[in-house]
Amino acid sequence: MTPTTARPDMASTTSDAARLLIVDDEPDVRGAMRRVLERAGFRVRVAASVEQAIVELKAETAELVITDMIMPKQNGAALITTLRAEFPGVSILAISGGGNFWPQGYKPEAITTSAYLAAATRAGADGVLAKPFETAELLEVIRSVLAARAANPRS
Amino acid sequence: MARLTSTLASRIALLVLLAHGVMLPVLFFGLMQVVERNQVERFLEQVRGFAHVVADAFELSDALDSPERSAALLDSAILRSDGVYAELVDSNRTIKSTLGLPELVRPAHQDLGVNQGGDEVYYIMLPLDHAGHRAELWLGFDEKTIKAQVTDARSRILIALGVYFAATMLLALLVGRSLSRPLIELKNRSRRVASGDYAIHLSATTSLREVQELGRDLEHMRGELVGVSQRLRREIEAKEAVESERRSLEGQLRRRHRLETVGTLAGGVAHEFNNALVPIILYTESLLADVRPDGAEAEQLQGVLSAARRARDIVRKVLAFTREFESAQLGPVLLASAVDEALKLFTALAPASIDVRRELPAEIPEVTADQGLLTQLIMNLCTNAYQAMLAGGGILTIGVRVDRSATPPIVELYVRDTGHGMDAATVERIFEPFFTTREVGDGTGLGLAVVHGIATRFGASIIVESAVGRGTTMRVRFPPAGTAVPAPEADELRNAG
Repeated sequence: MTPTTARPDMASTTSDAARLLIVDDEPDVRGAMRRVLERAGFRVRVAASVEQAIVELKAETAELVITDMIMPKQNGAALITTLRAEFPGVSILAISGGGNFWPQGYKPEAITTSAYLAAATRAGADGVLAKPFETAELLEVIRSVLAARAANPRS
Repeated sequence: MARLTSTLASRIALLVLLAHGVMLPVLFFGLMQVVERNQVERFLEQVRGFAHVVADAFELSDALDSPERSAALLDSAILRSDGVYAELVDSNRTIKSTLGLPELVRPAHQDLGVNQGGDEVYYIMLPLDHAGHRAELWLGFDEKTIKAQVTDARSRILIALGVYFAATMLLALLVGRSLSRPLIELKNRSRRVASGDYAIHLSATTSLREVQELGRDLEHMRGELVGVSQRLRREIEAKEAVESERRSLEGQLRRRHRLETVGTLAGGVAHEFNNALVPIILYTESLLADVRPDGAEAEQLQGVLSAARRARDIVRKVLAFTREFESAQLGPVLLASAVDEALKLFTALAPASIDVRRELPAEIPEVTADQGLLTQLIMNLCTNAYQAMLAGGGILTIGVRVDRSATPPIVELYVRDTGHGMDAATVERIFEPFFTTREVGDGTGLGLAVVHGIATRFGASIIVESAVGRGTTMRVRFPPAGTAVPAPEADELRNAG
């Protein structure tokens, strides 16, 4: 699957295909996102964990990292903090399906997706999106983040 | 005897009666004997004395020599006494007074005492000797006179003994009564103490030392008893208060724990569902782009997509009831205005069969809350109360209680209904999301979960009092004003593994 297979109607508005890195521990989520984003004309790579994402970025940078917030071992917030420190040129889009994994139990204010996404924003994400989303919603957020990046490039 | 027990007074009377039953006959017969003997002796003395007087009259005169004079003397002997018989016997003749009872026949020997001879006549014989002329003087006296005297004496004695006996019985009754009266008084008083009237003093107005001492001892016991029972009562009350407080806290804790479990589960399920829905939606949309838009494949893929969207909406709903609480900004709020606003909304919905009452004190301290959420909390409580009374109507009371004994004062909002009430098992679960006792489709099952979420956000606690068939009271106790309520902190996410 290469960007050249993308259909014209789903082509990215960015002139040269932007490089995206998808970080999610769920293979199905990674695969589905990769499928629709490649069809939309992006160059897509995937990583199953924060560590793998950093390895990938060191090998080749990306314009946008799309990261899940809740993952085993290191979570999305940790990745965002690392990216802001080590890869300041990378834009970040945080996605989350919510949920609650505190061992001490129920926290009404923490079980909602928006709480996780608020945490992502605070950590430095450029955009947030709640799972589940439709292709159009995903593309719209990606385009707005990339447009903001184009208007105000990161150092 | 049918009864083996008896009262003190009747026991004394019975004893006196028994003693007299033995003593009185003995006394009576003894007395009668003495009286009878006295009478007889007096009679004998009299008649003998009289007989000697008559004999002297014969010996000192020449009457023996003349039958006429002898007869006259015999007649006068009968006339001057109770005599019924007079006879003079000498060697050649017998002179008998005609004034005596003619049918009497003299025995051969004189009587030695009264009641002898069987003829109720006492015969006495005196030998006469006048200048060598010897004769025998026989006199007979009627014994009936003594008999009459003895009978008279007997009836007098009987009357005297009867009076004595009656007086003694009366005295016995009085003594019994006076002995038992202070005891009965003590008994009545101690019964009242036993039935719970601890203020009664155990004493009796009496001069009997034993009863006085008994009263003092009982009074001492009463003092001990009252002290012990008061101490026990206080201890039991304190224990009950602690116990009910403990039960209430336990209930709150258990409910909270259950909610936490449900919340954890809901959060976990939501996470899994949301993640699972991403590939379903995205792959379906991707496939849709590959097939003919008006073909059968497109139609089926649209079906998958709309099912996935519905699944997404369900998951959102599970989590929705907490979403808005996070953004709320807490500040001082007038409880009364929130109550009024909620009532305005609610009375528009409530049917006429429900009587809505408002019990607000004049001054209510401000509570730390959010006006909108507080109104929603009250609305949901009212709706819940109203739904409990759907069947037959009733009274819905919404009010505020301020406990000024605490500093700062504790403010409590309550909503009371007279509806069907709930059992303990239901009370345990009412705050769980989607828990409802109503028909499926009638209400969301989130009303009280929302109440709980809002109250938790305010730092308030909810107390549920309910009795099946009598209704339910929900109390929302606000934390003292000025208590910092921790805002939801999304940064805690950093701690997540």
